[in-house]
Amino acid sequence: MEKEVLDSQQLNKSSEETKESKAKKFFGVLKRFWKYFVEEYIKFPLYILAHPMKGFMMFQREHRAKWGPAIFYAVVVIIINILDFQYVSIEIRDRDLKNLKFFAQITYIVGPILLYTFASWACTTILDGKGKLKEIFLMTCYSLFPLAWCSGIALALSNILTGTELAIYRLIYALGYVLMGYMIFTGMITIHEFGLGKTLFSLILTLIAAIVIVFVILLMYELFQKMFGFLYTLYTEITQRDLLRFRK
Amino acid sequence: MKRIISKIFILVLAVSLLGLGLHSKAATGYSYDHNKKIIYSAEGLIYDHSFDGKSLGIGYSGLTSPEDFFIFNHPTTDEVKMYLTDSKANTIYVLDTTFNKIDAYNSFVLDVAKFNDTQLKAMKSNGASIVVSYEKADRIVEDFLKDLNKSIKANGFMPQNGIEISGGTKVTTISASNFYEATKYILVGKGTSDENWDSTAKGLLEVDKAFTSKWLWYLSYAQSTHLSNEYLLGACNKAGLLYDYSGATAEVYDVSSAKMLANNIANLINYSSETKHGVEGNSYVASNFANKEATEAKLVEDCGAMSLNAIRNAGTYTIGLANPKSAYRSVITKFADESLDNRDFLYICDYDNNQVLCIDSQTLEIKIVITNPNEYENVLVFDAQVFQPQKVVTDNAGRIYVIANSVFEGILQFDADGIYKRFTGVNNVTLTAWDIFWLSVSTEAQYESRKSYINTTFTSMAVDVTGTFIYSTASPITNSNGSVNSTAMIKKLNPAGKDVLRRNGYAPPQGDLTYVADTANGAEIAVGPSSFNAIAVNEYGMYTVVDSKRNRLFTYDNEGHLLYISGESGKYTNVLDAPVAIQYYGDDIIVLDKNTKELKVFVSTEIGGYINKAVELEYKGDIDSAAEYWKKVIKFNANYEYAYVGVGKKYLKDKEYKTAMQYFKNGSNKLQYSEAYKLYRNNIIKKYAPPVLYVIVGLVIVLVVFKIVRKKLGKNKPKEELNMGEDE
Repeated sequence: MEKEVLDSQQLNKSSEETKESKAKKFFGVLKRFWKYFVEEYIKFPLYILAHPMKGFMMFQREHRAKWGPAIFYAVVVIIINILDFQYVSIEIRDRDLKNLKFFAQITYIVGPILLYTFASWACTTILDGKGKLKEIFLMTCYSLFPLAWCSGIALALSNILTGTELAIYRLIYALGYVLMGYMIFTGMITIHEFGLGKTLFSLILTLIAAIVIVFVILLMYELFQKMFGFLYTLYTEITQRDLLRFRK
Repeated sequence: MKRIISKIFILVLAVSLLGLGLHSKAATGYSYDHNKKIIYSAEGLIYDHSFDGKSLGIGYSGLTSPEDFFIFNHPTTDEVKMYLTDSKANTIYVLDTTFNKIDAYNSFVLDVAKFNDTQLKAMKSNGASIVVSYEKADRIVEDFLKDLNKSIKANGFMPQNGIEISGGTKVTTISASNFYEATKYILVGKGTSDENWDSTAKGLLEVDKAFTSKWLWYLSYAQSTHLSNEYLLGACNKAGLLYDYSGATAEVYDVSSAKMLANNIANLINYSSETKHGVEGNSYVASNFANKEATEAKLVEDCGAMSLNAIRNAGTYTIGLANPKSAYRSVITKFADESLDNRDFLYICDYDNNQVLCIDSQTLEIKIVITNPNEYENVLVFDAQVFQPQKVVTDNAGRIYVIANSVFEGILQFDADGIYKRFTGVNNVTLTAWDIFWLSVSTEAQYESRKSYINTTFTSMAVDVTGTFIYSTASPITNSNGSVNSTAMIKKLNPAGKDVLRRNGYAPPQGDLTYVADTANGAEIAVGPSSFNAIAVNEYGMYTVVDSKRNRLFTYDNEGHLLYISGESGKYTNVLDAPVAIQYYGDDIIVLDKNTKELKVFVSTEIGGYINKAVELEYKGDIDSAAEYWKKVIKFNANYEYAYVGVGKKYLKDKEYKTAMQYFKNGSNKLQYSEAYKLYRNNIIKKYAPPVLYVIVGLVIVLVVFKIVRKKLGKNKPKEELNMGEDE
């Protein structure tokens, strides 16, 4: 009788132990994930921001660049941009929630990133840049790090500030964009091992290339539209025509 | 069973709700929300009744082309009169408060002695100068010759086979070139001696009096060589009347007048022929005709002087209106200048007479006539341009503001005596830097061939109840970069000529905010921004403008908030076809429709009345009472955003910031929301800052004390222990 009680107690104890270990395990995973997150998602981008040359060197040579943070910050920028519609203080809100188009908002962020990546890759390859397409893409996405933080902070701050103090909001937002530009610029220098002049030159070339790409896309769009339009007219012509007439 | 009953109940409920939904009609009117999007909204004004020519006492066909309607409220007495201008009938109809015609003006008497010669010369009556010009006289010569030929033939003076004049040529009609010889032949006979002139003239006079009065032209001419002055005057007086240049009858008063008349007609005849036919013996013509310009100038002067003489001698002159465009009346009260005090003038824009008549509205005597400023001002204002006044108002100092046709420099400002002062309130076109650069380097020829960018003209004016500010409407400005600026179409001009209109609404007052900019396929719809052609202001700064493009009435408050849009386009009685004038009559609005020739009375709807009341109370500073009305407005139309702001103001005043914030948020008023939020935040800080600060200060003190204590304790402890502690 007593033994049974003891057994049951032991059983309970062991189950408690396993529960405890499970929780420990879970928290361990969580802790490790948190550590990883802080290291890769915050500390490393911050390190790049503070030491751009060294940072991007590590980024490229030591393969510290990861897909996770890159995609993460792109997504964060998109999300904050959408949240901005609803949650920015009405004192500064000039966009109507009715005008929010989800896919359009994604395109506004992803489109320029891809456009810049391809245009830059096309130009820097000609100019003997060392960066690969993947690296350029990751560098661009990593550069969204200050913008994501600044726009997030600004969004939150806008709800605390009054109308006259909203200059602070704009300042923080502007800071985000400036730091983003700074990171892209230093990233270009380091990744491609360019000089200052060559980087500037490549940036101008990138701009031209981007315009050309947009032009080609529009041209293709127009041409395809024309082609499909023609096919569609053909289709309507055939379907609408009274073919039965010839049977008589 | 229960289930079935409940299901049936739900079905019935659903159907009834659906039915209600189907039957409820959407509001007919519309408005704009803070995002400039069209939303349904009740109309503020609705058609009630109208007055046509018959009911006004003018007659069915009496109103031919109504142009302007003005309601005059006397500031001190309760006299109310309405002035309806008919441009085709050249008449100003005066109506009383029961909308019955009590008077009609189409001409006004001028006291000639009060005006100097230059002023008289600039005046016009029935579309023609009262002092006849040379150009007019030239035409009269043609008419005279026509009449002369007719008379000669009728009286048998012209032989069947014509008259032989020098050179052997035969003429059957008298023209300017053969005038001298032909008439000499008829009067004196070929080869007869010159002594017979007087007797022939005498004989002629006895033939036909009416005929003779025409022939006196000739006698006058002949006088310069052969006819004696005494005889001429006698002949004139015997004829009794003499045709003056303008074709109307005028008396000849003295010998000098008659002589002048004679000289002039002679010169005119000679001048028209442009040859020296018949100038022998006429020393005046001989000496002057050699120089064409001098002759012309002399003729103009003489014609004018003669006509002036006649007018001056008559003492008064009746000026007939020609295409009047608008009438306006004002009384100056309590003004510093005593000569202007209680001045009660009726101002009429006499479009085709190119003048603004300022008439004493009691005696109906013309006091001031404003003519083309260039004619006597010696300033280059109207360089080779006709002065065609369209709208006139005056301010509390008696200054006269005139909008004239195709004047792009702004509103013409005259002082109380009708002396031109300046332009005010110009609608400036903005040039791009590129255009300015090209304009500065282009040559004169290039400049001429360039597309010109001109300022837009004003279309209407109204003066506020204090007589200080002038509300005006203008066409939208097209800038050189192609952009259309429609935000400054409505202006409120202060006495300095600056636009001080408040534009605190969700959008600047400009009528329709969204419109079709251009139709590629030429569809028959109105294109472009609103085009205002009338404005009316009431006593609490609320103003209504008429969009003649889409026939709508837009009402704004003095802060520039769009209150409501009313009216629609159409040919029926209860809609607008061609609104040209608008006036506040109490809370009602009277619109003059040019096409249907009616005065259409629009009255406030229930919601419109509440809005008016709220705006009025807010204007007077009674925010609490205004908020009550705004709440009623919200009950009628929950989408009426500006009403929330009105209510929010009350809560802001009552220090209920949180509620105020909510209302301002609903009303999308960023400025007011910010103000309320600031105060709300201050309250929170005031409430929580002291305890938070106390806690922080307390913590700091505890920390400092703890450190000091630990330091003192630590000194007594051995070093190793400390190191161990650090290792842990």
